[in-house]
Amino acid sequence: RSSYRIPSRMASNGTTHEDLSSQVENNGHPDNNTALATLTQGEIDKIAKMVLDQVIGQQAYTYSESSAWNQLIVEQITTELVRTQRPYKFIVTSALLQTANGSGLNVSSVSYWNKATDLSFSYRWENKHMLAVVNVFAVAF
Amino acid sequence: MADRDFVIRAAQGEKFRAATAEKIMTEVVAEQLAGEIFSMLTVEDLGRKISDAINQRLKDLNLPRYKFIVQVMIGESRGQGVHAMSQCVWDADVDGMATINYNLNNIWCQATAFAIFTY
Repeated sequence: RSSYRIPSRMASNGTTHEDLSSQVENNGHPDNNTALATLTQGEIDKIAKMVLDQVIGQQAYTYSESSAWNQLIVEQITTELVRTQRPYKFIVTSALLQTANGSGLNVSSVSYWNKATDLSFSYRWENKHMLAVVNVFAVAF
Repeated sequence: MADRDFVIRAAQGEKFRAATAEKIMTEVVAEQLAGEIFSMLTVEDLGRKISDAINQRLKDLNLPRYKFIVQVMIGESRGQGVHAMSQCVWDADVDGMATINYNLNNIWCQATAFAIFTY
């Protein structure tokens, strides 16, 4: 079990992962020592930051546009992930929250998977008007 | 498990069904959120409790080849806008997801479960 928390009163993120390795065997997945096979948080941060800066930048929050932004965000992050040619199934989730009213948000996730091969990343991005929480799960198959 | 059997498709009755999962998730969320009011102090525990409970119930479905990811978002309703979206790169034949929304008092909750098949 690991836990990750975004240090902020606005949003927090708790992640728990339960090890499945005793039940699901690592089926020929490239081992984690291979530099190319393992994704790192740094890589995800870079991709997510690039996409978010590009899609939203410093724009103010408008509800009508947020749906289109969010769609662009997940699409572009997914595209970038696939481009890295890593042998995973990817799940990208993104939440866009208007921060003007000072409301709280908590995103927590729990997984039941193989700790040795499957990865989870979280990235938090904000500008003056909104907050984005991007979660990326990479699951070996 | 060197002698593990590989399959391409889920066996009958062992496939993840979104409708079943959604029913479970609604039940769990309704049960856990009953009487709650949003507070930044309790929300982390609450989120953890809900996602753990959903995860446990999904495991109890006894779908041996599936891995589960449960994500729970809990927010406060203060008239702000919020938008959540996800995209997956996977095998649409066997992998699946279920999502529910739940509103109560000043809490909104979105629970999403992803099920990934291991061949």
